[in-house]
Amino acid sequence: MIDIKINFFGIVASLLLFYIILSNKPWWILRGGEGIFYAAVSPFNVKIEILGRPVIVPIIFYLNLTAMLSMLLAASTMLLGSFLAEKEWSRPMIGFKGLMLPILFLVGLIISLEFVKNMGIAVPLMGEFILRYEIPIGQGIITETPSVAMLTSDYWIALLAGIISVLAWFFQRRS
Amino acid sequence: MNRTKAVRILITLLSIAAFLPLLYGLNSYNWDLKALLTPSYTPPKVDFRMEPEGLRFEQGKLILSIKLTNLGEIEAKIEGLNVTLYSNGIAVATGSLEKPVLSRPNSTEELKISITSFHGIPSKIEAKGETFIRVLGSLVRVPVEIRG
Repeated sequence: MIDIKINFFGIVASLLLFYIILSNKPWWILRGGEGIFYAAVSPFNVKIEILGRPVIVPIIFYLNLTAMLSMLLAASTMLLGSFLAEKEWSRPMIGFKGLMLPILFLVGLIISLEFVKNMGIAVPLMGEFILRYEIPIGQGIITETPSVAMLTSDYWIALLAGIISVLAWFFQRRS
Repeated sequence: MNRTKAVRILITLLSIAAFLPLLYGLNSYNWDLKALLTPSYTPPKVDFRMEPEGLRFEQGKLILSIKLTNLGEIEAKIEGLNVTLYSNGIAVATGSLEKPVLSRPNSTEELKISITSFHGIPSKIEAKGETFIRVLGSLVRVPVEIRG
């Protein structure tokens, strides 16, 4: 009988990580009106549109690529390390970068929303709201836009993958 | 050097290599971080012109006709327009939009303002008020001043 020891948590976490990287779906969505503004944000892709026209920040593309490569590396090494759980040298392959990313993403999002709030635009992390904004032109143009913000199921899957990767890390340490 | 250490070093090197796109981006922009951080956006043209056409009686009602020209690229629905008419700086009448009007890009529509209470008909139209415009699901309140 062949007795192969594998890190089950690591395999599950890495497969979930591969899914969230390759699905390329947004983790957080902000939608205002019927196309007034739209933002679909994930560490791997950021799409922002105002009045149907894209807003492009050059650094975002390179940051997304960096995040994608980092996570592909983390998922690959975790998958490999999970199948080589018996080998002592496989320990560094199992890390918890998978948990860092959803946490950093959420922290970054909260900081960004606070920054935007200081500019007079109050956007919650989640929920439906009316965005009131005064455009300082002439006597002032007041806009009221029914909006919605939400963390998508892909964010929660990413967080779950992160939590499972921590379990995988503990399992690898103990074995 | 033991294998664990070698694996750790290899993973660290690969993790650093993952930051190469960021370095490439910086290099592409001649290490100008400001240029890399500056957003670029070209908004669509938004240009509405209102010109008074005159006052007339229509089905027993006094109507102020306004020509609305949409020279922009965005469709808008004028849902309301409340104005006060002035004669020599004195308010003489008030009026409101009879029915919503859809204004498509590069088109001209007539806005019919029904004058509801008036104490005189001004010879020269001078109106002030505000209009409520629905643009892509957003309600926009814009102060208006019409002369003619």
